[in-house]
Amino acid sequence: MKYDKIKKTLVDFSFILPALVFFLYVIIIPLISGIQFTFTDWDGMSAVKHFVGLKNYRTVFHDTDLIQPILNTLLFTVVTVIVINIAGLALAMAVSKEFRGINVMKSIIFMPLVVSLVLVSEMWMYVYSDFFSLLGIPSPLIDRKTAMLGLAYMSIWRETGLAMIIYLAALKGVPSYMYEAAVIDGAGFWQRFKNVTVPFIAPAFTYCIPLWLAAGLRQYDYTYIATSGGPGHASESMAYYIYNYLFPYDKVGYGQTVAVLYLAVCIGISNIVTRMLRKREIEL
Amino acid sequence: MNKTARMATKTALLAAVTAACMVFPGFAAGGKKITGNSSDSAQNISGDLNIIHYLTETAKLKALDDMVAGFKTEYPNVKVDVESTSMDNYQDVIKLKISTGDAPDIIFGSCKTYSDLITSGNIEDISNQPFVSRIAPGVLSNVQLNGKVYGIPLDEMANVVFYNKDIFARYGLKIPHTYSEFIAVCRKLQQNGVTACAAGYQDNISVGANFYTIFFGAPYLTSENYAAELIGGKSSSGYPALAKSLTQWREIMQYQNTDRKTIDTDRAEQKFANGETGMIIIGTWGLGAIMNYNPKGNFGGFMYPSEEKETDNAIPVATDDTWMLVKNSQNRKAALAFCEYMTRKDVNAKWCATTSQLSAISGVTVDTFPVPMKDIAQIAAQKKAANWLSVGTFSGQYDTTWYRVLQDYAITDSLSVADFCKQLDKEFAAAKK
Repeated sequence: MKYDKIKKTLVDFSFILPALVFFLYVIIIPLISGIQFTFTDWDGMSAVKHFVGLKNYRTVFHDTDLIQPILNTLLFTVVTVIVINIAGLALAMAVSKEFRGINVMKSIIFMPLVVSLVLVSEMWMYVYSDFFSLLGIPSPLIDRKTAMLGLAYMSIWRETGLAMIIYLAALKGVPSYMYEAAVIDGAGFWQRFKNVTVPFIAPAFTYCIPLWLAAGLRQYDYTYIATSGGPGHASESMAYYIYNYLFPYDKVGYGQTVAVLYLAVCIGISNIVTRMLRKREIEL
Repeated sequence: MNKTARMATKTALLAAVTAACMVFPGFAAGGKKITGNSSDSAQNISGDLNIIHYLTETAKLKALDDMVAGFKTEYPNVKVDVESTSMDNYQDVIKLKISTGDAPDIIFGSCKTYSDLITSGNIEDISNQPFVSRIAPGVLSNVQLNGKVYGIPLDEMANVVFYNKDIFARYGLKIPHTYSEFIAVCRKLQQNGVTACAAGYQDNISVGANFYTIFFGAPYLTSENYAAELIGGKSSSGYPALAKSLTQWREIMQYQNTDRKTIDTDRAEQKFANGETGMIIIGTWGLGAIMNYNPKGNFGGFMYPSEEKETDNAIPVATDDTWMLVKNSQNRKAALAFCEYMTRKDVNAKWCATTSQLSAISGVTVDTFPVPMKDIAQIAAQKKAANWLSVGTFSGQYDTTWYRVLQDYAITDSLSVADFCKQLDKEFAAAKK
């Protein structure tokens, strides 16, 4: 009996073994190996690396230059998570009813997602430059106060379609009799949304919010292509800050230290938010 | 680097890159690869010669293709792979290649700007190679670091002002010889509804083209060691010439296209080539693209007059297209043969004629330049020149920071010279962490 249980466990484990080996080889082992650089002053090119102990870690905790990229990243993340989810849900509710041309509309809203991040950045740089100037509106990318919001809008434009599809799938799972019962009970739109829709689509929130939370925290592409972190450091994200130290600045040791610590912070935030959402899902 | 060290470095960098990839995507940068053909005829030198560059101008790409074709005719057993990547991620690609043991044999780039590659021991000292004697003595210091030669410059660039002769003639304008005259020309053009100068500060190329033209002439000659001194901790506010140049730049911006902050160099060149502006402040490297956009354009060139006394002005010059040999190259013989080949007078003359650039090789003259380049060649030969790459410039974090603060100054009208200096000093101090 015990042998059978062990055998069954091994058989089950064998199914995930190939993926586990691949994950270990591609992600975990390099990640752990990378930690060694945090104790060096390696420039990324030299054959020699000098051991510097915990100097890089001490520097991180005294590095005031980190404040701006942290604030920028938080702003981008908060704006994109809120707007993408609200807009995605609103659009999903709008297109959840069947009418003529609805599929074309869904395709149009979803279409930006198939465009690459680089192309989206390049396209919006033109929109901000040429189209906005026709309207007499200055490009948000050249103003310190609006640069990060300009980048966030690129992300919102691209990603809202995906949020719409996810929420639409969740909305399809809400039993229609629940709405009918709510209507009979005299519930208005807001009450139906709050007491019927939201509880039933809670798993979609658990998926969508951490998804764009992680995307916001690791935002790099829009900054790299559209602003290079400028004006000044106004649109420098944490990922771009790390990139600068790993490549242009020739300070792999320090860049890697920030990367490792930031990864730990990101994992922590994602974990906390996911747990909170799951807990809320059960309560609802 | 021996094989073991190479492997260790390769594994180490793979780990670093993978860890970084977890934090942000789009990390890996690739390049476009063009593979040449090899011939079957026997020669002493053989192997795969790998060359990497970031050239994009049509004329320069043609010049490189011609040079590689000529080399392959003479060395048919050498297979030449030319890889190109964008200037934006060029350094990243080079560093990744070197660190992962996939270094090319020949790297395009200025020895001074990429001095971090030299100081990290990745570029070969070619001081004792016979072909080094072919480099014009006046520019040898541009490819030297600590007295050793690390690069082969094929040509020289000058930072100048190109102007539209038709527009100048229409409004009765003459070439300005002092700063006041230059501003008067700008004002006259503006009064007649013509944008005086084209610029596109969305990329750093135009930022450099404008500011370097303004600063690296006469002002630079009063502060040749500025780079080393600023890195050493001296405040940028201690350079009156720098402040003067920044002030001039700010004034000139008033006469540049209103969309200058949101367009790039290409579009600025198009504006000038199409006759939308009367002038463009740029390096001679930009002339190929301008002529390409408007081959029939009636253009001329003149020295940017930063001073109020004509004879005090100086034209900024520097070596441009430079190639470096990677240390311990696996195809060293072929790489050295290529270096020798490109420094030959006939080969270099063809390069310079195609690229419309002044030669950096002794005894090479080109008489097929387009008119604007002829103007500049004459000025460079007759007037005072400031070779701004002979002493030293920024590299690594200092180079990135320098350009970022310059770009910030270009696109933020409210930034004063004092703000610029304060920001630069703060960021240079932070670079020491």
